[in-house]
Amino acid sequence: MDCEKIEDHIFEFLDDCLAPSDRKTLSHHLQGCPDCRMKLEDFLKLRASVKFSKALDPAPVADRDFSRLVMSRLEREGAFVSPSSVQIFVERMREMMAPFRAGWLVPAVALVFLFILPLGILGNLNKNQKGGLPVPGVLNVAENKTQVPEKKPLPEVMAEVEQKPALPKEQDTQQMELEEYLKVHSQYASEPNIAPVSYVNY
Amino acid sequence: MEGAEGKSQDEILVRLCQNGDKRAFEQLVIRYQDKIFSVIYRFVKDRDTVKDLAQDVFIKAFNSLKGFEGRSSFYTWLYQIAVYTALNHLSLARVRTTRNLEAEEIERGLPDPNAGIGNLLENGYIHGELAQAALAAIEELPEEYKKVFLLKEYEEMSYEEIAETLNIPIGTVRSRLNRARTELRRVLKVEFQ
Repeated sequence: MDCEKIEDHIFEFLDDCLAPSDRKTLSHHLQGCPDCRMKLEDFLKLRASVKFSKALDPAPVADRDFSRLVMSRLEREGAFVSPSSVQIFVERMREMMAPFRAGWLVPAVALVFLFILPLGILGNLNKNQKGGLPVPGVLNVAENKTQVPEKKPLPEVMAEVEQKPALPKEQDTQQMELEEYLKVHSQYASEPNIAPVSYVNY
Repeated sequence: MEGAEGKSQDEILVRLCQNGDKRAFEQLVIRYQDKIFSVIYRFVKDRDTVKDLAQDVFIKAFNSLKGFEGRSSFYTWLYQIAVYTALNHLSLARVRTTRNLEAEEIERGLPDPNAGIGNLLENGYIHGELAQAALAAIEELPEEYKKVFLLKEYEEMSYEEIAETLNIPIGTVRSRLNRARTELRRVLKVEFQ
């Protein structure tokens, strides 16, 4: 590989971001190229001298009072002065008006709450047979126990009628006596001048 | 450098500050004061000046906090203020120094170009020829390379953090860093042998 391209790998190696596959390429190249080997050594020495100079010349640290110095300077400059009541009012108005900058969205949401929800509540009121007003905004569908019976298909209904239990025996006997009586009297009615025995005249 | 937990704590403190909680800001000062001292010192080698400049950094940060939108981490945003405060001080100091030296030049001749390193030697901060030479060479780097080199090698920031702090692409960070290293190697070649 080209020594110029290897230099990029050397820098990546120094910054610990060399891909594993490129590490092999670099290692293989360094074995056969003394110039690139020397280049890597020089950069490592440079890094070591930087670390050495840091140790010899450490940066100063802030003393304990530093943060208090900063805060008291901010106070002197008026950074912590409370806003006037007018400023607070203006700021609050800005916050309140901020949602209306969204254009159509807020009016649309407002319309939903003004019209559609009450319609839903009214619909629940009609179904609610147990009485009592529903809680506004809450549709207690689970509490509406009035159930519309299911519509059954006609054949099923007919079968049920046919399977209807028989009338009680007393009613049957009375029905039969009536029918026989009617039979008897209808005979006499069809044959003229034959009166029933009860009607013989003296 | 900054764990995920640290970053989320920063977000909470920043939001509190933006709502007017001054104790939250004091917490941020305590959290980052040493790091800000360190980064300023990499550019400005005077310890008293470092303390004054660090105060300036936090004052500027507080005054700009309302406009901080959280696009970068608070840490890199604060670092950005620190780096530019330090560089601004240096550029002003060079102007003042030049004016003084112009007067001195007339009286005493050309100034010592290694005055910064000379102070460190007098105060006993540097031992070893290599470390001395390295410091001198870093001082002479072009400013764009020096910024990146110092943040990478001294502050041990990642490429991403440096890119956010200096507001440059990551590719630019890499190329400037590599050029700085190449230049330092060239200058220090004799010392390395």
